[in-house]
Amino acid sequence: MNQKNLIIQAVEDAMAAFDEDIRRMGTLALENLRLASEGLLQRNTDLCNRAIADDDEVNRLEIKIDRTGVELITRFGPVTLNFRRIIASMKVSTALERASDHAVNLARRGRKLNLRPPIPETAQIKELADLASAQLRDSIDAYCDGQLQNALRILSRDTALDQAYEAFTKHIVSRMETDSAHVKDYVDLLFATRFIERIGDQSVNIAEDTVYYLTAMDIRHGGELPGTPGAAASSAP
Amino acid sequence: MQDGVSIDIRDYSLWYGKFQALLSVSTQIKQGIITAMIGPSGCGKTTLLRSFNRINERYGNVSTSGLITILGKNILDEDVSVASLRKRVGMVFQRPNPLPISIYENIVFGIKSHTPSRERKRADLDAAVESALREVSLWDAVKDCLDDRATELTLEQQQKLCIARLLPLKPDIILMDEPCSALDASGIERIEELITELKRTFTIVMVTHNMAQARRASDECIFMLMGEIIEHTRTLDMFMNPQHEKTAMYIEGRYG
Repeated sequence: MNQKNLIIQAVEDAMAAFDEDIRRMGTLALENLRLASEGLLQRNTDLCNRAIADDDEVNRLEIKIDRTGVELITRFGPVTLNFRRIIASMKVSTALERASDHAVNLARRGRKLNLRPPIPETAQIKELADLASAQLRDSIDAYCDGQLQNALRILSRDTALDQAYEAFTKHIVSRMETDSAHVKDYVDLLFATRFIERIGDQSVNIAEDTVYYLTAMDIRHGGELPGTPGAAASSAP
Repeated sequence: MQDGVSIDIRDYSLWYGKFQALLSVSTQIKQGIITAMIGPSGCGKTTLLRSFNRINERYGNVSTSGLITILGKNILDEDVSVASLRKRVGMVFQRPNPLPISIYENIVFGIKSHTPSRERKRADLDAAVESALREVSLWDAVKDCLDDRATELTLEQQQKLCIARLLPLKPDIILMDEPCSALDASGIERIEELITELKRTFTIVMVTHNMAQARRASDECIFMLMGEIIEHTRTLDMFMNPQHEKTAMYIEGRYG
């Protein structure tokens, strides 16, 4: 038998398993976003179907993470960093589950669009999907690696995604006014981009949970970290 | 008796003279897990624990009714040998109580009392001592002073020794009556570590006043109050969702 402190070791082991589940959920959510957007861009309905099917495991992981979190709190009564890590993990898992749901919704719109002749505006989704995907990936990394500065950077990066989303929306609305024959396609595209933009919002939630986990500060809805004025606002890194 | 049940208690009552300390309690303690018994002072948890190896009888004025079945045998039967029962059901007490003899002799004391002298070889005893001390992580600390008096060890080491001396007898069940109450925080951690290791081999029943210890170190929990078992369930369930208001009040610290 080793001489390590088993009580702390038991918490650490459980936490490591917990982190692994978060990491796995993040990988799955990212992959679902990739499948859904590729399915739409390449007009490949099989990819869309895979994104929809693979969401099940994300849902199962969300339930598992919540159950483990409640058990850890009940058994060990953690405080400070470990306590915040459990609370934050449960919230991050909810954010990832939502992100994966948005990917599923994107895939469903993709299937609809793939049934009709292609329109050139679809290709413009790629830029938004790439931004959202990179942002989600980096927010998951920041959380799992405990990187405060990287988490703070997500908050300003989301502004770029929001601006790209608004510009795209304006463009589509103007197309609707001139090209009424494709209104159905444009509506589906508007929804599709809305889901992508929402995935960006979920990565912001993950970044905010990371800041809470690492610093105990709540920076949601315009709150700021002491010593980093404007960090939570839209200033570029 | 069902598979996986180590101790089966049926309608068991116990009286100290005219005072009834246990009121017809029934439950089953599972094999190979740690079961914690909690409850306010005087609730009967230690009395019940001490019934499992009939150590209560030392008080003289004890009478009982009901059944306690261990390994398929009602241990309250007349024909049960108390010595062999206590070999199968070992006990660790609140304060470490090593015998005032050498560390080595403390470990072999149990073997000597339970095996005839012609069957004992020095090499076997040496091996049993090393193996028992290794199992409780005490070997490295004491291997060069096995002839020193056991009472000179630290309290934590003494408690580990008290656990170690049970092991050569290969008990099925180890009873622990607040095994950590005389220890400091790091001693508690290491004894809990040891208990968690031991449950792979033994059924462990532990009385504790320390709610945090029951939460983190046990698999199942029995809550007792005024001589009755109020609730016996998975530890996580008891602390997350107790079925009885009395249990909830106790574990929330509202009485007891």
